[in-house]
Amino acid sequence: MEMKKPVIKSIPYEEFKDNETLEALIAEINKERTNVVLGRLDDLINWGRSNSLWSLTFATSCCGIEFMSVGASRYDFARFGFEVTRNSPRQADLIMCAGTITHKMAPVLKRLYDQMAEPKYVVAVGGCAISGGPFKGSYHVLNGIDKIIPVDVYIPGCPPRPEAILYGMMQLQRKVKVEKFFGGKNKHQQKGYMPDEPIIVTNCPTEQTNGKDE
Amino acid sequence: MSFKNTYIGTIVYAVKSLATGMKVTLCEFFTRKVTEHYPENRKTLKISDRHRGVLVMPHDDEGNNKCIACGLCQMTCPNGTISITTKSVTDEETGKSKKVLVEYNYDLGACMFCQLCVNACPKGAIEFSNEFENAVFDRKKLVLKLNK
Amino acid sequence: MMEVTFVEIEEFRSTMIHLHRKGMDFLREMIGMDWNEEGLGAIYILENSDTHECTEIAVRTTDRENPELPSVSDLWMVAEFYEREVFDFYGIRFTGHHDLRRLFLRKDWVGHPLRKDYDTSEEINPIRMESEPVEEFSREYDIKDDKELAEKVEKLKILHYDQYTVNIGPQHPATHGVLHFHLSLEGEEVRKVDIHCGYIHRGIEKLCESRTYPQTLAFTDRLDYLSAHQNRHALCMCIENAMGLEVTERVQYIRTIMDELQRIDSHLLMYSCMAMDMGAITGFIYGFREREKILDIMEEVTGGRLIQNYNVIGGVQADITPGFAQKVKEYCNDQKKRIREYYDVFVNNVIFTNRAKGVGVLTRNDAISFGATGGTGRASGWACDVRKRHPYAMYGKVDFKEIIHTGGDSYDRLLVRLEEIMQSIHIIEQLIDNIPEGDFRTKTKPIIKLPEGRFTASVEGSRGEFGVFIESRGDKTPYRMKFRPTGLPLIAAAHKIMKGCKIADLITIGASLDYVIPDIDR
Repeated sequence: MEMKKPVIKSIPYEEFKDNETLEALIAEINKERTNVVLGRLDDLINWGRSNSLWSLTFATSCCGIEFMSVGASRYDFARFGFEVTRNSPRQADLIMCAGTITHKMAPVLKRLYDQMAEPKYVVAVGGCAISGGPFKGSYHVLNGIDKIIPVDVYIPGCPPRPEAILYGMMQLQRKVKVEKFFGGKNKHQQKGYMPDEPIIVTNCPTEQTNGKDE
Repeated sequence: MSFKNTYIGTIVYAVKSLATGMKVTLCEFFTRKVTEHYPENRKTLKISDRHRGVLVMPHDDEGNNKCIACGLCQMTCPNGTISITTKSVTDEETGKSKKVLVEYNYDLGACMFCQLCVNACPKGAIEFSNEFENAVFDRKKLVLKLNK
Repeated sequence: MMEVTFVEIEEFRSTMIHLHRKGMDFLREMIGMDWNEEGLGAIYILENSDTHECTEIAVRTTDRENPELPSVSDLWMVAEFYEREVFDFYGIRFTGHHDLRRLFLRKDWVGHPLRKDYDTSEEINPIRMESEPVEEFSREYDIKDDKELAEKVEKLKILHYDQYTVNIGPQHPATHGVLHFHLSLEGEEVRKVDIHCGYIHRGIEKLCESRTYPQTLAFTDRLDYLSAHQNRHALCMCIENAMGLEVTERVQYIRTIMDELQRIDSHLLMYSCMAMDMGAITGFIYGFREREKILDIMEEVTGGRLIQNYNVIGGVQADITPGFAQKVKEYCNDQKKRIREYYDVFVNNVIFTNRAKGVGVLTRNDAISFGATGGTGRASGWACDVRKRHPYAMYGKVDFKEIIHTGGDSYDRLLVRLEEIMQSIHIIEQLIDNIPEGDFRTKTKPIIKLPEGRFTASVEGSRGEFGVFIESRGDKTPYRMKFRPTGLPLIAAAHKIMKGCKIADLITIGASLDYVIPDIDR
């Protein structure tokens, strides 16, 4: 049975970044066969869901202004169906975490994430949400929100352009389109999510060192 | 008492202010819209050259780059985004040993685009390109290897 | 270079009372310091609001276990918050201050971060995932008769819990960021407001102590990101004056023009967000449409829409592009016609005038005592513009009016900002055609070291006076770097003017004060 590839108008499948992760996800979800009727119904429902993802108003710092620009008239995100931003986490589909998360804000973010109803998604916008960004060595900054909640899409930039944020949302739409709505597990939701090992790429320089010699 | 402060006067002025506002919004109905139709306009979209999207190391047609593995970019980076591995190679003719680049790792998820690395490079080996479509599903895909 | 007068602890309070009576009614900045063996202390920068004369006083104590200093919060109202900040970061207890709690960090945080012997290990302060413990009482410290410090924990209730308390929490569309309002209500009326900040405290001042001077420039863009250009200008000016480096006139012109463009951008955003908070989303869309035009111009020259990275030590990063002057002139002509629309759609609307006139009045004396500079101070009748008081760059040579209104309510605060947009356009039109030729960047040494001493510089940011203080010991990293927050005095003023208003008025006042939270929390 051939792999079902998600289609986004105006951008061909090959030009998207990171197709490998998506294909691995599709292979895992489709391990068992599906009923034809349920499969078609899934496609219809996923089409509806991916074109109306409503996000929670959550912006802590500079990336929040770019988020507001995406909502304004020049880079309108209502064209994609993300019509409004919901203020209450119970009514939102996804949380776009734009801005730095500090130790004081971490329990608040976790509580908002827990209050959201399934199916829910998390998008990390900007360097601060991905890895702590410019403030990586600080005593009060969380080095990336994937330490406390599972993240679906990472949008790099400091701050990312509004077009880059729209590109990230299209990646999320592709992920929603391959999910199974009726039965089957879509992703592993563990209580108290913690990654197995922290993803540290390079440490902050405490002393000035030259490159390592092999 | 002026007309503005009488009961009827306040109502008239209130309705007038609302009508002025609605006239502006009605005229806006017929003006040209400013919305940019991304992604339909991808082929004609013009982004400023100086926009900092991602760090690249330009290579010429034979695949050579200008990096001399001095490590200045790694030292000036404020938060440890760049990490270089080098090795020492002895030149056969002159017998002197010099450093050569093995791997140039750049973490796009931590970069703050401050341009200190580009300013510090003595040979102009690295520069910022204005490519902005970089969103991925996996954190590890954001660690890029810049040299070929 | 700054000359600081050190006074003994015993004479400190009488010196400050004497200076206050002499007319020094504006406490510009209070800087907590850790001088290692010489002790812990604070530097106070005072200014006379009429004659613009400045004085710098410092006081220190050698006791590192239980340091204590007398409080001056009864003389200058903003000192209440500055002293809470110094207590939070250094552990210095101010005797006589009747609400000494931590300001930015959690109540259960261990240690005082900006001390030089602070331990940053994760075991002492892990990521705590439970909510903060709620405090019902605050503390006041007093000297007992036998000179021992006593803690008075009692009747100073923060909020009256027999009344109805509500949180307008950190995640809320109308708080302009992450700010936590803890209110006690009587029906619809607000009895008392307690504002909790620190949800975006990133420890920038501690980070600066381990970075070289060019590396610290990148942080200033992210403090008040809507005056990114002006903040970076302040830091570059401070370092250049300390090094004795002169920049070319071309650089001064470019810096002034970009500063004014940034100011227009920030005021448009203030107008848009105020309209959005009050429910008029049309105003928001119109303001952002104009803002995009400025961002296009800035992106072409600097490469960034919000975070520009343009000023560097010695000049600017890259020269202006050839079409710059033409585009700026086109934009200025367009904006002059469009500004009429903002008045028609939002400002003159009967609903807005009824909601904003007479709401949240801040008197002139209160504004000076709180140090609320910027548009807020000018709407209360206080002429506090740094461009007129201590001119820098090209501001001494161009002609512009300082907009002052005397009402002090939310309506005046919005009017001040809209009229300042027109003044900024006027400044740009005087400069744009006369940019002199020259170098856009003066060469500096690769490693920059400042001479020993204390240096300071201020600029007029979009929201108020932004100041930079550097104490250097001759190394390539600063010993202490402090940024004057433009928003903390506004939050201090909000505590007073939000009392007695209705909840809907609270949103209006918050939007008109125009604070940006990362600037408060640093």
